[in-house]
Amino acid sequence: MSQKLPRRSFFGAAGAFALTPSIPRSEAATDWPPGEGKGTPKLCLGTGANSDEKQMRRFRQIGIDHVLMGGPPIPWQEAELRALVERFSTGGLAVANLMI
Amino acid sequence: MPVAEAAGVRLALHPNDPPVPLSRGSQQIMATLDGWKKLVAIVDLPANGITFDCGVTRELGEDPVAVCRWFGERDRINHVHYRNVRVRQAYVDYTEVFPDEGQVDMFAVMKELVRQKYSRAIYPEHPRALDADRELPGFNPYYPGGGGYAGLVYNVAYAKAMLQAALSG
Repeated sequence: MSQKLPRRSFFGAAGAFALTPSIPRSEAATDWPPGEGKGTPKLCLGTGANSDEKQMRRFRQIGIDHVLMGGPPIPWQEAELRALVERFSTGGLAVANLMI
Repeated sequence: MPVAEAAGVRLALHPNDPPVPLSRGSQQIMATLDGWKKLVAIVDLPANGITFDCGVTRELGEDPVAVCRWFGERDRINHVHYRNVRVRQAYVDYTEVFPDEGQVDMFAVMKELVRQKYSRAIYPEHPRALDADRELPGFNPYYPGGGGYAGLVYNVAYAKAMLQAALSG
């Protein structure tokens, strides 16, 4: 997997560096934007179980951290599911849902 | 279902879409709101839930916010499909549209989910077909919706705006 900074993170980091010294931050600004967290919904997109790094990057670039897909053939095996979850995790995405 | 509950797994049955009472000769159990409610009553556990689809809810002629509240207050929304429709006659005559041009008040739905502290996935699905996608060589549309990556970006951006607005309100 590429170790390059994702595009969204890069622009966020670059913007923060450029703006912080000259623009005073209000209290509200420190809380914006509200992000996904433990007690909030998570936006997700559907993809294929065999998605490659390019596909995963396309999702990350638009702020998607969670994906769903069709599950492997029934009966599901724990090792198979763990490998699937791990592969997407390595690509920066959490598997939120598997469809039967 | 008790095994799923003990393992922390939540099952989400999607409603019939389109909501037809009969499909390929078989009666359908998720084609009416009563059917959805009957499903979650069969086994009274949070693991036995639904995919709340605000578009299908409107196809039934129901109020998506009220239905979201009914299932959410019982902790039975285990997945969400976030899409919009224009319905001319409930059950039988409707058109899928972009999320911002349908009859479902998408912001009200998102606010209700946030109010409930719903913390699972929301899928802004069924991207509409856009020429920017269709004119690409070898375009392979998402099903259903006929859209591609541009349509998907539109849906994600819209849903993200709704979510940020709901979280900040």
